[in-house]
Order: sequence, then structure tokens, then C-alpha cells
Amino acid sequence: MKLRARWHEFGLLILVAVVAGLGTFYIYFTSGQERQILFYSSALIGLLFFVHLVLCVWGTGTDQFILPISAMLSLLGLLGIYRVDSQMAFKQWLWVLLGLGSFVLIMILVQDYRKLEAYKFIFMLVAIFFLLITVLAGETVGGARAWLELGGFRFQPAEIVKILVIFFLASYLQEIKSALKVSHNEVFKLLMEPRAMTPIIIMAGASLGLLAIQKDLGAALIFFGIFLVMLFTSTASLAFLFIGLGVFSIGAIIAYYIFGHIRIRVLAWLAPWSRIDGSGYQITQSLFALASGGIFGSGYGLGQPQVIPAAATDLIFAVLTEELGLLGGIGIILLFLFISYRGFRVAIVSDNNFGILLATGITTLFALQSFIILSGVMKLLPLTGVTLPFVSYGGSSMLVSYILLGLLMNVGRSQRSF
Amino acid sequence: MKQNIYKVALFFFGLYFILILSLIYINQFESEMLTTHPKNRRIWELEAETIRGGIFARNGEILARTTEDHTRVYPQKEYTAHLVGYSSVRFGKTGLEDRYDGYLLGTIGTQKYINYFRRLAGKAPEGDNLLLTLDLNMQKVALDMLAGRRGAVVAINPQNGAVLALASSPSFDANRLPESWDSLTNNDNSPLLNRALQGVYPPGSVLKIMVAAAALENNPDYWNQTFENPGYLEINGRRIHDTTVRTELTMKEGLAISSNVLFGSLALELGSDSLIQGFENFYFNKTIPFDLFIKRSSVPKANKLTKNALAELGIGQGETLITPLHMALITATIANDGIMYKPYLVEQIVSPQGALIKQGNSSILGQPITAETANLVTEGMVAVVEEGYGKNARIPGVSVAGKTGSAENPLGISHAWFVGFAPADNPQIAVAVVLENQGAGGTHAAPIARELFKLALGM
Repeated sequence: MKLRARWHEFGLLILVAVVAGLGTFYIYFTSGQERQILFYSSALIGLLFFVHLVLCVWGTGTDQFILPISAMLSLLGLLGIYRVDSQMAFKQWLWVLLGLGSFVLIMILVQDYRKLEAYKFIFMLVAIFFLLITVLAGETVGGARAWLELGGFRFQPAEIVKILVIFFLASYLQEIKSALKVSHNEVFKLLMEPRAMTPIIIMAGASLGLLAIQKDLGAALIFFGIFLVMLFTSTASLAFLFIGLGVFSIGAIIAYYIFGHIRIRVLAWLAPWSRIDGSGYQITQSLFALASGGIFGSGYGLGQPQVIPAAATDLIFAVLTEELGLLGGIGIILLFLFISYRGFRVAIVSDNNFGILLATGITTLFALQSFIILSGVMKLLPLTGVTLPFVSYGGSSMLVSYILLGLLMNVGRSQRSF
Repeated sequence: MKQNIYKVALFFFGLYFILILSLIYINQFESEMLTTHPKNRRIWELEAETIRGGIFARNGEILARTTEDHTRVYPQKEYTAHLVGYSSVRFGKTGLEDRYDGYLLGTIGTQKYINYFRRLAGKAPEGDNLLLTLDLNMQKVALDMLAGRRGAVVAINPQNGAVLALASSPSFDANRLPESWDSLTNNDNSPLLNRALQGVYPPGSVLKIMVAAAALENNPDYWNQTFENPGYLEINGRRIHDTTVRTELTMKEGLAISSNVLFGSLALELGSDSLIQGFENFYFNKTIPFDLFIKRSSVPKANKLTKNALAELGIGQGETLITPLHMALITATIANDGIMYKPYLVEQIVSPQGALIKQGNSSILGQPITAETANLVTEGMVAVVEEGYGKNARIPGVSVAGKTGSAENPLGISHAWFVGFAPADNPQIAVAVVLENQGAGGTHAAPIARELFKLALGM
């Protein structure tokens, strides 16, 4: 067993620990009795450095920035959720711990990620199975039939389907990509070929089907966006991109007219102020929070998160920006920008096509999902119910994000140290 | 494939850049609208935990304060309701409570930072206190003498613009808003309206002091000129009548007996351009800066005036409308040798620890007329009180300047006006009184002014 130092990671994790320490002491001294916060906090910091130690042994040649960035995001999420509801924060703490645990497990157990390539149709079938079972046996929470319950444990199958779809697409696209590689004037000829068109139609259908089940434009956009980005990465064909966007837009317009749920969200986005007491409530409260902190924020613990609806999930960014200010908000956006940068860098340095597509797919998921919810919170796009990866409250999302992160790390494994 | 990834990465970096710009826009450029939006509950949450600053009259009397259990009380009830206003979750904010909300809540200036530390230390944030120029005694006398009739009284110190009384009647009790809201809003007498600042009235004959001033400013010789008075002034077949019987008048005599013929003819002689310019020099059609919102007084544009309308302007009728505060300000300007001071009500803003945050300085708005003109008009106004309709404003041993008015209005009985100041040679106080539909100003409005003069002079 050889131990190799990872100084960048170590230094950045110290920074995470300092932020965690400051937040902990603030909560400890202002809330008075909550002594267990010291335990929760030290357990989290301890686990982070334990993961770091494990990476020093098994993580040779992997990226040193990804873990500290995601840990910082999760920590900010915990601090934000604590301001909304301390009980939720304790649950989320458990999910972050489990997430970090699965991150390490994946990194150790799935070092040879290329084995996954062989199971592509199994992934496809399992994904379809999960989607179907949600349609048939799903529970409706908050207007969307998106939850499954297994032995008292509730989760969102769509989160697992995300992983499976990325696996499937990475292996499938790398296999057929030579067939899809054509010059621009041949594209229309190719479109007639079922081998090229089938995946597009299936993915568009599946995404829109998901939209119909979850009644959530955001989730559908993420699925289809990942597919389009991976398709573009493997073919460089803008024609596919535009055809795909066209098909999806038509589907979305139809969905707008069929589903009242989606119509309400779009109208609330177009004219929130006249609907401020109804469907426009959430987005207007979000804008109030984003503006109220000014440049430096109200200060941690001094904002008013109790007036923000869905504060721990959809609007967690608004909660944090109110207290940490414009600078804090920009900081969180930059953390996402930076983790995307490291993710795409992993894709670029990878030495095989499957790895490139896998890393692109995973990074696109983080980048696109964070963009969709952040732009929803800022009223650039309609507000949808997707989580802010690593930050928002939610077990399924947290676990899946860390599992994908573990895979991303393994794809980025190279001989030279970063 | 790697080239494609560069493009994808650049695309996402572009999206994040848009997010950052959007956040800056919301946080910096839309923040004014967002942080003061009435549906933003933060302001009320803050309100609930803050010990809002108090509002005090000239001698320290409490006009508004917040108790330990965070209720806002207004000890003077009806006496200062309009100017102090109210701060209520249900009914919103008005008056000084609204205009100085940031200071009273402690969210502006140094108090903002002190409150950071107070909250960190677990103490309730505190707001700044307002000390007013208001003379509570005078304010009470004014409202008592209005006696529930519709009207307003404004008293100003002409030498610096400090507002001494700002009364509007009927009034209301801001402590009892929840019980009385329906009856207040359905009441035909509009008790919630601050008539002193937002009530616009035809000025009638009280405006003759300003017309005289504008005319003398154009040509001081008018003072010695003798005007013919056949008892009426006929223009295009329509007559303006005069109640007087003298056939020859000077301007001083015209003021004393309030001759319509003289001031109608004077307006015609001056012409619309000069007359309207005179009005505008006195802040007609302009916003008067003040600690509370004042409705604009209005006069038609010069090029839209017919001869009839011009003559009517000369006697304060026609399309001229003015607020009581503005009328008091014009009176104060004549009292103060033509120098118009900006009216102000907030003398000082003081931190909870007693430190001076802001001093309400007196400042000059302008000088619409010369001291010579002002003194001539004053001479005429003294004659009004000593020889004319203003005798109810007389005080033994004090030279009082005044002008009465009974302004015709299309809706019913004339409004009773009185404006004046005392002592005429060293004015301490300028007053405007208006009583809706009460007829002659000399009978009903002048006695109110006299009581205020006596209070101001310590009598």
C-alpha cells in the first residue's frame, strides 16, 4: 500500500473545514443548547479527511479539485437547510455522509469502469422498468407522480434512471458513432435510416414521457439535454442538435396545451407579479430573497428563510444568497462552473471513447441541472422542481450525485498526478 | 471528439456567465423595487422584531412610540394622526411613518450596522427617533377650533420654514384602525385625507395678496395708481361683480375691501404671460419639496387663458387650485421680505443612543418678489385686519397682517379662507386656514388664526 500526497485536495479541504467550523460555532453559540451540532460537524469533517486519505491510497492520478468543490457545495447546502429547518438538516447530514461513503465505494469497486460498457441493454431495460413502475405504482407528492416506496423508504426513480441513461448512451453512442459520422449534406439522407433516427425518437419519447409522468419540464429538459450534448460530442453534427431541439420543442408545446400543471408554471414565469398570491408566489418570493441581502448579504443566521417557500429544495440558492449576499451567490455559481470545468477536463484527458462520453454525460448532468434550477430561481426560465446538485435537500439526488462523481473521478484517473 | 467537448464546455461557461449577470441585475438594479415591495414579508418580519423609533413634537411630547410588546401607539390620537400617519401590517404605512420608515426601522446609515451587532448579540434592533418642529399645543388648539368641520390649518415660521402646526379635520385615531377602518373609508368626509397637504381648493380672495405681489413686482407704480370701479367688470358680456361701492380705489384699499374689479382689471393689465410667470415663481405647477408628499397646486398655461379666465385668476377663482400648506408658504414669503423658505417638519433625526444623525436644515427655495414688494403687500394686509374684513384676527397691541377669502366652488357654499402673519413688522408665524363650505373667511377662519398668533407670541 503506497501513500501519495494530494496537497491541492488537502489544502482545499482545510478551507471547507474552516467554513464548516465557523458555521458550527455560530450555530452552537447562538442556539445555546445544541451541543450535538459539534458531533455532527466533526463527523462530517472527519469523514471528508478519511475520504481524502483513502484517495491518497486508491485515488492516484485522479482529480484533486472535484471532491473539495462538491464537499463545499454540500456544506453550504447543509448550512442553508439548517436555517430552514434543523431536523431536515440532520437528515441531509446523513445523506451527505452516505453520499461520501458511496463515492468512496464506487471509486474503489468500479476502478475499471469500462466493464460497464458491456451491460448497456441491461441498463436500458432497468431504466424502462423503473419508469414503467413509477407510472403504475408511483406515489403522488406535490402534484407529480414521481415517487416509489420500498419498505418504508421513499425515493425518486427518475434519479436512478439518470445514471442508467448516461451509462446506456455512453456505450451505445460510442458504438454507433462511426455510423452517425457524416458530412452535413448527407444528414438528411441519414435521417431516413432507422439506425440513426431510432435513438433520437426513443430519447425524445422517453423524455417527454417523463415529462408526462412527472409533469416537470425541468427533468425532461435535463434528460433530453444530456442526450443532445452526448450526441453532439460523438458526432459534431449541429444538424442533429437542431433536429433534436425541434422535436423536443414541438413536444413541449404540445405538453403545454395538454397539461395544466405545466401551463401554470409557464404563466407564472411570464407574469408572476399579477399572480403574486397564487402561482407566482414562489418565484416572486425567490426574487425578494435574492435582492434583500445586497452585496454582502444579511449575514449567516440573519436572513428570513422562513418566508421563502420550498426553501430547502427548489429555492435553496435564494436562501443562501439572501444571507451570503451577491458575492456568496456568485461564489456558488462559480463553484458549479469550476466543477463543470474539472468534469469536462476529465472527459478531455480520458484515453478512451466510452470514458470521454461517460464523463461528458455526467458533467453535463451537473452543469445542466444546476443551470436549469438556478435560472428558474432567477426567473430566466420557468421555475421547475429539480434539485440543485449537492446543495438541495433530498436523499436520492444526493446519493446519485456522489455515485456519478465517483465514476467521474475514475474516468479521470491517469498516470500523472494533477 | 475533444474539440466538441471544448465547445460544449464553452457553451455551459456562457450559461453560467449569464446567470452571474442576471444575479447582479436582480441584486443591484431591481433591489429597490424588490426590497420595498409590499408583498415582501421581510419588512414586516423586521418590523415585528424591531423597536421602532419614536416620533416627538417640539417640546418632547410623544406622538408615536413602540411599547415593549411591540405595539405601535399614538398617544395624541386624532391630534397628529395625519402628519404622523400609521404603520400597520394590515393597513400599510402613511405619513412620516411611511416617509421615514428606513430611519424608524434602523435600516439606514450607522444604525443599520449597530443593529447587525445587536441582532448578533440577541438584542432587538432599534430605530432612530424623529424630533419634529411641530408645536403640539398649537396643533391641538387648531384641531379643537376646527371642531370636526372639514378643513385645514397650517402654521409656519416664516423666518426658517419650520412647520408649527399641520392640522386636518375631520381626523381619526390611528390606535383604533382595525375597529374603525370600514367607517373611515366609507365616510363621505374622508377623514383619512390629509387636507393640509393633499386637499386642493380654489383660493378665492386670499390669492389677491399674491396677485398684488406679482403685479408690483412687474411695476411698483401700481401701488400709487388709482383704479376705476364702476361696481362690475364686464368682459365679453360676462360681469365680475364687486361688493364695494367706492368708485376710485388704490391697491391698498382694494386689498382691504377685497375689490374684485380692481384685481380683475389688474390681471388683464398684466397679461397672461406675466401673471402666470408670477404664479409659477410662487411654485404653482411645481412640486414643493417637503418631509411629506404635497399635492401640486395648479394654474392653467398662459396660452390657454381667455380674457374671462385671466380676470378670474386675478381674484383667485377659475381653474386655480391650491393646497393649504402652499397658501401658508406664500403668506410666509410675503411676511419674510419675499424670501421663500423650504417648509420642513423634521427638525432632527436622533439615534436611540441620542446621537444626532441628521439635522433638518432650513433652506431657501427662492425669492419670487423683492423685499420692497413684500413690504407694500404687508401694508395692504395690515389694512385688511385693521380696516377691512379681517377684524376678527385683531390682537390688541400687535400689528397683524391678514387676508380673508370666500372661495366660490361649483359644489356648494363657498370655502372660508384666512391667511395672515404676526407681528407684521417682525413675523414669528404665518398661518393659512381653510374651512370647507363655511362661507365668509373673516367670520369663521380668522378667529382660528388669531388664537395661533397669540400662542406663537406667548399671549
